[in-house]
Amino acid sequence: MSTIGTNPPPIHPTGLDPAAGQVSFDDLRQGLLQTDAGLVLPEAAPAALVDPGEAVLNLSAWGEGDASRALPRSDAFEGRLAALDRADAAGAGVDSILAAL
Amino acid sequence: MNTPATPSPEQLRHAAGRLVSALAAHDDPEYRLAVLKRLSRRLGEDHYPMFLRLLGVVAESSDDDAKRLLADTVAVALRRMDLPGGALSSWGATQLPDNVTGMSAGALSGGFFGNSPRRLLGPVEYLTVWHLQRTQRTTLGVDTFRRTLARLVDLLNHSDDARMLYPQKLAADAQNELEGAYTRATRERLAAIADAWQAGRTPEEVAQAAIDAGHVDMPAGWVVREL
Repeated sequence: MSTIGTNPPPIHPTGLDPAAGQVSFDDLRQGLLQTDAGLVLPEAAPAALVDPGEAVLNLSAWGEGDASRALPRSDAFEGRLAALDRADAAGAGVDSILAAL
Repeated sequence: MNTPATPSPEQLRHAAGRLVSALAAHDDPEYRLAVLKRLSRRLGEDHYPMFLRLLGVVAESSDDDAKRLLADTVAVALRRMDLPGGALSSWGATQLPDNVTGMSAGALSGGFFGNSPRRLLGPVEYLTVWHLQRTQRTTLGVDTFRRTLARLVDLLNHSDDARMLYPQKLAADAQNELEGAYTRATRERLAAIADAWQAGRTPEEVAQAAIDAGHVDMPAGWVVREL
């Protein structure tokens, strides 16, 4: 005798809403938000995620008028570092670079 | 370290100018490499892209002496296999628990679940892994990858040593399947960069070669795990 029941399981309202009214993150990502009226409304496309580091790579360093694109090198700064021993110069040089940012 | 959220163009140029001045202050390759490595280390893991951006500002400038100085310093780093690198989490580097010595509960925090060890990668390798592999960063977009890589290759081409040594390193990395730093797809791209670079293609063509290497004919609907 088959053990498969002949009576279909009863349908409870809760079975139709396993999330109990909650919406998963994936639902939100798919843009399928169901309204109370049963309409499925397409959500606006989510904004593309951009890593903050990528934004840094895309920072502009030159304006429209920077035709020459000369780097602002400083002979005085270079001279000060040259007067230091190498270890101190490396430290002071990096401090100055970071300070400029 | 703390950097402003958005440095102005003037600040970027000023910082890049100071970088070149700092490198030029002493005529000693060791000193110059120390400056680059200290800068990348002080910027820290999160701000390594700023290090790459500063290299890019020099590359975009009209100062060929500055480009040569910087590229020659990278060549020294290549000879010493000591590139100023940035850290990205690596798919093959997750530490599994040791079944000989047992495992403490503390081992389950971070180091086992998700906070995988990170590998230091040189500038070109960093960009490629960031673009292709799952890391702690959001994936680098293809346009930024292409533009930044082309800028970097252009900069490094100002040193004969760097132009010769960097592609050789990438070709060697592409052969290494065992270490686990790179997926198969990444190794293919590194090999494509190396081939195009060694063939004397333009920086833009080198970057495009890396992108084109990933375009294989695949039946629609197939899902491929790139390992």
